[in-house]
Amino acid sequence: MNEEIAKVINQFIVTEVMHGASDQPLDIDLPLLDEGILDSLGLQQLITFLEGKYDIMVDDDYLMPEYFTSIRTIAELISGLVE
Amino acid sequence: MSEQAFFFSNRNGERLFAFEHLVESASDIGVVFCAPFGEEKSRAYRVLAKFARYLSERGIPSLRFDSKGSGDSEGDMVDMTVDSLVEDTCDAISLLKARTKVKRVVLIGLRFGATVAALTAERDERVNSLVLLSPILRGAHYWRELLRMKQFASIWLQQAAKKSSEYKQILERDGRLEIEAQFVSKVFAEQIQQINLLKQTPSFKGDLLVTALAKDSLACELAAKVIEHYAEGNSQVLWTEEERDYWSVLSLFDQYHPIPTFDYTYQWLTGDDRAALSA
Repeated sequence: MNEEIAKVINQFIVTEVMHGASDQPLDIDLPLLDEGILDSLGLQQLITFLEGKYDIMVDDDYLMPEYFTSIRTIAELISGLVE
Repeated sequence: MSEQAFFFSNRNGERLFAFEHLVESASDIGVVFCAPFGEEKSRAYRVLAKFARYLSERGIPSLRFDSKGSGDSEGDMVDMTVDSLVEDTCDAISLLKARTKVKRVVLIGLRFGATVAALTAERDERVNSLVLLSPILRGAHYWRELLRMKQFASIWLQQAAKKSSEYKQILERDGRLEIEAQFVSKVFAEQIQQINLLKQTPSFKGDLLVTALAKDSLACELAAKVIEHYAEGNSQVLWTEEERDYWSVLSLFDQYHPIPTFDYTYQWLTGDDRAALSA
């Protein structure tokens, strides 16, 4: 997992999805979907942002829940696509 | 200033819900709002209501309405097409002119509503000015965005998402596809995907204001392209940046209203400070 990508994801969720509701970064293993941190719109916004930032495409083959459970799993997915 | 809700009949005799915001003194300018599509329409509802009131407080009457198959209007979304959206907008223009006697018609559209506004301006010479708030320029990308919403909704429900190719098969098989809890027809889907506002030379030669989200560099790039595309023969073409994507948050709860966009649009429409805005 690329630490920098994890930080970028964390920052985006806190500022753009949670609108600054937290002043601390999130635990990277926090279950984002189960805890209601990310809904479908938040997830789409996050992935669209990451695709634009890293010039990648998250293919349909990767649209499985296990890739999006936490900041760690998302960072691992994106890190793999960036390399 | 007064406002009221009512129904009017479109050219096909279908009842469309409308909300007019009238002003006491005669106004040269009148506005028809073109709302976004689907969930964005709900999320931006309050913003457009506030925008209409903002304008009427400053002497500009306006009309908001629900197209066939949306909101409180007659019909089902499965009957909606790009053509029906444009026709309903033309009929709304007729209504605005009849009820306010304005000479100059402005369409203010948001997201896919901005797209419809631009397409309407190509067909209806009565449109004098266009305000395109974060317009959808390429329908194919927007269609992908809508399918992505479905896919991420599945993921949120902890289910594997269908692939885009599977949705295409469903559309072919059933003639419709569920998008945000309503059915969209195959015809509408195809029309959306064919839209490319940057492809043909526009016939619209009126004034144009385009906005783009400041943090979205691609949107800003595209806004600049829209300006180039429309620039020839137009009296004023301008773009500016928005701070927040107010169509994707529940503004009722978020309490974010794009007042700078309201201010900028008003100043641009009335020419109060055009020299400063163009700098």
